[in-house]
Amino acid sequence: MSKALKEITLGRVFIYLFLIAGAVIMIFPFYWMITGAFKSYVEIGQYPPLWWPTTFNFDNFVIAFEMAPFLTYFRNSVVAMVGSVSLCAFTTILASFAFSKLNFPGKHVIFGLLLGLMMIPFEMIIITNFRTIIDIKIYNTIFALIIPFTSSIFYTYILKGFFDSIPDSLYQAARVDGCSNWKYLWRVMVPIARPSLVTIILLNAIASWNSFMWPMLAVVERDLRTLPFGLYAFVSEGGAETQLMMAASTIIVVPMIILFLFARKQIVNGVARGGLKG
Amino acid sequence: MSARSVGKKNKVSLKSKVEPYLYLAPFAIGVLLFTLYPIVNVVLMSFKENYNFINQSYSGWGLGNYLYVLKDAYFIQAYKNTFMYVFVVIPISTCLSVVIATLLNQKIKFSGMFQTAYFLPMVTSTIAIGFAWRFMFNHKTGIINYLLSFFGVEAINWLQIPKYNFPALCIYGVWAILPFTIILLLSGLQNIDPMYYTAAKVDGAGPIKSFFRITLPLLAPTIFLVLCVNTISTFKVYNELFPLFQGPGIASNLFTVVYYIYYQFRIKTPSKYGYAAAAAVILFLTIFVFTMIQRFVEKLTKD
Amino acid sequence: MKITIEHLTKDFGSMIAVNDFNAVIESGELIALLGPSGCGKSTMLNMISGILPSTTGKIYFDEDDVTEVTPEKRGVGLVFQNYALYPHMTVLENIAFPLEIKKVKKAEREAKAKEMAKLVHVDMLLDRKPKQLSGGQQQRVAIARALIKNPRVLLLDEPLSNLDARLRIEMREEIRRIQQETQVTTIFVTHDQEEAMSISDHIVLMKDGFLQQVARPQELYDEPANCFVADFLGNPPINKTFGVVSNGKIVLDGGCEVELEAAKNLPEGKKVTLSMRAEAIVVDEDLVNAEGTVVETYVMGKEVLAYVELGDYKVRAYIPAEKSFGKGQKVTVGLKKRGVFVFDAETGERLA
Repeated sequence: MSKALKEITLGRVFIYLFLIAGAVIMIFPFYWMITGAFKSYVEIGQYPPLWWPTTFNFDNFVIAFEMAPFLTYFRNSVVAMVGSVSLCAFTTILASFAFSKLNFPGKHVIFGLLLGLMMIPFEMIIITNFRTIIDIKIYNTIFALIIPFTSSIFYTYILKGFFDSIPDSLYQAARVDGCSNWKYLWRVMVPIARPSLVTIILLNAIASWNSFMWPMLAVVERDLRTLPFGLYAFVSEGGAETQLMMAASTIIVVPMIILFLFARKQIVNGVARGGLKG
Repeated sequence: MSARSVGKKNKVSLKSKVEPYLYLAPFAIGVLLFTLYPIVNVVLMSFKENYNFINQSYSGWGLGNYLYVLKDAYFIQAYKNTFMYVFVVIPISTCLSVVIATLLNQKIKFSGMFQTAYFLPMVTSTIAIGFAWRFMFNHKTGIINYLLSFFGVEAINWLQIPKYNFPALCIYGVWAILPFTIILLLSGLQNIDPMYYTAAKVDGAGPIKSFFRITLPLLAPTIFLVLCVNTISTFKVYNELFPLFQGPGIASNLFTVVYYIYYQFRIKTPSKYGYAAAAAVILFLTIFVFTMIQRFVEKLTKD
Repeated sequence: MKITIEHLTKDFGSMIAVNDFNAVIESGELIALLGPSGCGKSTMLNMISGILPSTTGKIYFDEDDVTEVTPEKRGVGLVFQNYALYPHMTVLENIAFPLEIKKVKKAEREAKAKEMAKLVHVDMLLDRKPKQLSGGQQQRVAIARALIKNPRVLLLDEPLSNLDARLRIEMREEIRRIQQETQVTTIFVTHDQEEAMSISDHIVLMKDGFLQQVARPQELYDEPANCFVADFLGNPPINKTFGVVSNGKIVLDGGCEVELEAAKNLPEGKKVTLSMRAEAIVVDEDLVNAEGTVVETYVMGKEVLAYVELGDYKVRAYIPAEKSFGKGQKVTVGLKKRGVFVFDAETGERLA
């Protein structure tokens, strides 16, 4: 083997070793959480730590479900997610279409203002929003987890960008054929924009599923909690044992892991596009 | 010009005038009620003295809230902690990400698997995976102390001794922000024309040389963008506190700006909305400065 | 269907794209809307289709005033420069789409779409998506989609500009064929004079939002209404010289005297533009209007392109290959009747 070739091979080996080491560190908390969920009370307290549970059974999950209504939390999370994501997708589609293809006075000024609003941190407006949901009498209801999230400037900005890339001639062609705006939007724009839409919906769904701060403020009743809030309450109120804590955490994380495994490319592309734009 | 003034103007149909607003309405309601109005309201609230949340009364206008907040030891601590956190997490995560993204951008096998591993933390609940970290940080039985023991490090009580809280938060913070950072940098790398690398190879540049002379300079705009975006997002550090410490550190030693806002209007009784609002405005102004720097530099690099 | 346009104006605020435009387009004709880019021809087309509302003026389809009628109610078929095919629909779905909007039953509209596909020769591509088609095929599909509603007028915006040279010639003949088979009044926009000359019945020539001339192609070439029209048409470009009328002659800048029958009636001292097509100039023959000097010659096969100096101007002339001239040789220059025009140098209007 020539010297140059040796160097190249050595370099490749180093790259792989480095990447594998990094990947192990990134994955490890998941591994530790899921294996922890299957360890017994005794096993989890052992030192040195057990790398692998001795038996696999779902006892911890059963106990966790008995101690706190995780099924209800799960249902609430799903309802809040489906509700806010679908309403948000609807308003986003309509608004993006108006900003991209329709003409009205002040369009550019309004859009510029919206872009300015995009840098407002949610944490800043949360104080008033808390007050607002009380005033409109949805405090401590499932609607409190949906209604404030029906409009998103960020997703509208992203989708409008995509709509802009669809040539205007398509719109004019449809208009000449007698196609109404409404029909054009749903029959032509939305099918063409489907990849972008799916990305937006995925990102929004992930954000909704994982949201913690707002549900903690907006609902008090135990039966209205979503998973992250429910999990936190389960640990902080009940002082749950570690293996139960891991089991409950696993319940929240696994759906998103599955989603990610199936839609990794779309999620990653969406994050890259959104991040580089925003 | 004559034709312009002669003859009446042709009409545009009423429907096409009204229709755009109908499309905007559902979106606008949400934005007005839950974004625009709250901003105005928070800014106003921050100047109201002795604001009472229940009956919405206040004794007058003034800077009282700001004066209180800026003198409040908790707020000063929160601001310091937040800055410290940003200054630790951002450089470490960015450096690591540049290296990892560069390696991931090579022609490697199993790149799909590697990407899955590196990006997975991005989609998972801060709370849930935070509990896993809490388990890993455990003083007596935690895996981290166990691994450190091989290097002769005495068991560290990460979670229960205040001075170790901050390092624990940073370790978790770096881990959690890596995926997003790598994705952005990787996407920046993929926008670099491979032609440059071919040219460099022809000129005899090795991989190290081409990293420093080609990759880094061409990636610089993306790196800068990532720095700004991440600075803004780390500035809002808050959720991470809950799974690790169930609050701002074990002894109220890890207040952050966002936690301070939450503390003023939710933990304290009676709630201090004015203080929370003032802190929120200060948070916004800080973020605003970073955003402006970002825009400014972006413009500079574009021209 | 006859189209009548009266005093039509489009004011975009920052600019007037079409200015006081008047024209009549006869039923069943193929009309080219010709002009340099930015002359307002696409704006004109969009106003006829109704996509763009006009500022003032009237448009009539036969006797109907359609000025304020929305595009879908005008019964126009429109073909876009980039074809504007819906990328997610098949060829069949694309062609049938206008009928789908009209809520025509599926079987009926598909039958009609297939008929249209046959007319434009894409009937073997019905299940393809636009991406899988060549430019020419996409163009055909776009035409079929525009024709399926039996429009009163077919409008094509730069239909050939996205095609390569060979396809362009094929497609323009196709457009002619389809137009003659369907007998639908057709207007197409182009900036390519050759395209306009070769297939249209009448050419409408525009510049800076103003109508310049409406005429049959040959007439436009032989009898330009003004200097712009003469400049715009012809290849190589018309030779353009400036001079002053003096004693019934035109004295070009630089002193060259041109004797011209037409100049005799022009007022003394008038500043004029003398425009001559290359093929209207003969060198060293019986016909003599002026004297010049050969500056350069290029052998181009069957003929020679010669540059002859007339005063300050170098004009192009074609001379038979068997004649040969040396550089600097003094020659006589003759101007034929056809292809030589005199325009007012200030207004550009045709004087003779």
